[in-house]
Amino acid sequence: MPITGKQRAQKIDPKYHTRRDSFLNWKRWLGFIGLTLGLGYSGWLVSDQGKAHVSTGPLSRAHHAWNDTGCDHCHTPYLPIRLDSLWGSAHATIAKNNQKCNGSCHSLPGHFVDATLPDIAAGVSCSQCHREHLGFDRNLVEVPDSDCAQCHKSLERVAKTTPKVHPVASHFNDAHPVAGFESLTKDPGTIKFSHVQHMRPGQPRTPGDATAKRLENLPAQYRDRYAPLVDSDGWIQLQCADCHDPIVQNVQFENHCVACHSLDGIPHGLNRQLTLDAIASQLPSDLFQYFKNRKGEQAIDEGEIREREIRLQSLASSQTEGCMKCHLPAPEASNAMVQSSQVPARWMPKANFSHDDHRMASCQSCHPQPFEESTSSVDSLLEADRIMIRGIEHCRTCHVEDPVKRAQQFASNPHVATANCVDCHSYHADGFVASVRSQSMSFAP
Amino acid sequence: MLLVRKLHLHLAPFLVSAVLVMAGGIWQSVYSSMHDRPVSGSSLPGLVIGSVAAAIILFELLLWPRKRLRRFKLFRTKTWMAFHLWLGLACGPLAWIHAGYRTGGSFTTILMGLLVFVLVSGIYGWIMQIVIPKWMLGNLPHETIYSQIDDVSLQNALEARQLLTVALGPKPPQSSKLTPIDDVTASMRGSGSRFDESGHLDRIVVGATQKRLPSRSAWALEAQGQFSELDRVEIWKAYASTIEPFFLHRVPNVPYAFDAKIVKARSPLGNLQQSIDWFGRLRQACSTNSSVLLDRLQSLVEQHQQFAVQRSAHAWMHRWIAFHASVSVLLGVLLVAHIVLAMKYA
Repeated sequence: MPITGKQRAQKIDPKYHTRRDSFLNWKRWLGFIGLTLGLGYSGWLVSDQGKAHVSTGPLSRAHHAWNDTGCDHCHTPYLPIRLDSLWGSAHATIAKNNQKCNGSCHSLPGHFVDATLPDIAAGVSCSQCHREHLGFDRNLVEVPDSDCAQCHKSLERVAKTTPKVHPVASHFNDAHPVAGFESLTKDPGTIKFSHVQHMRPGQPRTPGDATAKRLENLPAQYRDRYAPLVDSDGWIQLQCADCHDPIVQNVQFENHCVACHSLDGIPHGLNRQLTLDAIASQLPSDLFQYFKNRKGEQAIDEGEIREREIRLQSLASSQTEGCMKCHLPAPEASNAMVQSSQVPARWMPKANFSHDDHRMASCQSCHPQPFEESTSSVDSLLEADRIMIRGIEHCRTCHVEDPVKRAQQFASNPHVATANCVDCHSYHADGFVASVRSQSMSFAP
Repeated sequence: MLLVRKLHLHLAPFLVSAVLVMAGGIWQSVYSSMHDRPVSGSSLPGLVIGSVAAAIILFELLLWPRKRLRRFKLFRTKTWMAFHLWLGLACGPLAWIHAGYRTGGSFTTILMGLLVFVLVSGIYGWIMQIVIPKWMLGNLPHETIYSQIDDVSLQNALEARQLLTVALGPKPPQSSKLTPIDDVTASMRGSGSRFDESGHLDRIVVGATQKRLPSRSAWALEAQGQFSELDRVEIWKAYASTIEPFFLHRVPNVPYAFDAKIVKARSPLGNLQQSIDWFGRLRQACSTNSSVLLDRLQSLVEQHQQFAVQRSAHAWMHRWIAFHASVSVLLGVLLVAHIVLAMKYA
């Protein structure tokens, strides 16, 4: 018997979709597990233990002690720390965030704050350049050039007045001012010194003249030191490192000059009065005994004693011997014996340079002038005026900004290096702070 | 092809998704190039793109409450589903742009991993729901309504018993014990079903079975007396020991007279070729008069084999939803945590 439509409809359970079904059970159970896991994990995330999971990456070595639980040392809750956050560039926000770094832990000066437009200066954030959460080995000081170029691509935009320094310095290879030493017309030092002469075998003023030094010309106490420098012809052949000591950066008379340029016991570096006193004190009544004591048991005849006496007396006044052999005379009114050497300790006062980092290069590659071949007599005074450092173009042969070009050059020049702003420059203290590394020098081959 | 056929349905959500992703990508690129660094999630474009992605995730999760509230008829289901699919697909790229193409820390990496899982499982499900029904249409002619498989299986078992009883007479005592029919029917009553006047389970709805079963019984009445005693013994023995357990071993709430696990693992009827061989051997043991009866039984067995394939296909087609939905819930909860924590530490 055919059934009616109503009977047919009644066959269908109106709650068929709620009937127990393995798929539905799976869905409900897994959904419940998902919800529970989500709530549990979220709860754990806001706990101290969960902060490491919230972190966007490991903190650098400098801040790593706070890596797991120390978020609040740098972050103010619900205050954006990133400058590109929606409200992160507000000056009040930046000031509050900067205070967390500079003031509580660090104490660093700004960068030409007085010369910068107030609006620009107030918009500088620590985290803008020192980007954290990029790994344990991340060097926070390695700031990308683009950060420096924000201002230095056009200083006119950010400076209160027309900048006195180069307005554009955004790319080392093509938009960078010449280095500091290149703006000098002559060496500011006052020492009458010829590198060319001192790099000659025996250091003669003119090649082959009688002033050339052999080991036996040196006082006995210096012979051991200079014995390894004697060449096959018996001449003393100086090397750069013999005067440019790896530890003591500046050349010092007592260490590097005295072996050849003896002052006969008169101290070096005193003022006029003390120097004259010292000379006077070197004229004892019993000169014979004095020189006997100085030379041990070696006998010195009367003539030599008299000669020494005259020599000592002339040291203070001679224009070619004694002090004036190397120094320029001090003004009459001055208490100084001679003018100070004024050899710059840093040739690039706004940049850090480490000889140690450039040890793979020979001295001659950057300082070719001392190695010039010459047969003529040298004029120490004239030669002392020469700048003996190659220009920035030579730096650019190794320091290449473009990573693609750098990779291309690597085959021909394995010492090719980056050319980032921070490779040479410091930011804080107006860029004049030299890094510790730059103070060390090494001339080891 | 299905997408082409339903172009009118998918075009709008596809265009919306494509525009969102392209606009987000372009905005991010322009912003990054202006600031010489990748965009962060807390920057203006990052925040806007992230908000759009979060809104999409919220919309995707609304599919569940919408099912609960379908009596309110909130938009057409197909339209909603099309937006669910295409916006869900757009959500991945948008989240990736929002993150500045980085996974970030552990939490955001987990979040991104969960999003990828949800996307991949969704794409998998989308493909399955297109491919499998088409395949079933061509390969499973005996397909029934999935929820009716157990009922139809039970109905087939009872119908087969009725067929044998009418054609061969009662089961000989030496045959394996059958599952008590009273217990089976009691079990059905317990689940709210009962037999109607024609002996059919009333829970079987229109469309669940393709042929009218009474025709078999009518044939059985005509065939009475054509079978030898050997046929009666062999066929009842085969039915009680192998065929009926194969029909009933997956029907729940039935007090089986056999070990369902062993049947599931070792039944010779589980595989089409094996069952053909098995019926061939049975035919050799019986007289030629029994061939029509055995054909009827074999037809029921083959139908049941297709139910097993249908169960498997159904699992492939629907089981992913459990994982997709549960991970979506997890993702939704963690998204809220991400928003709060990002505001705190951005």
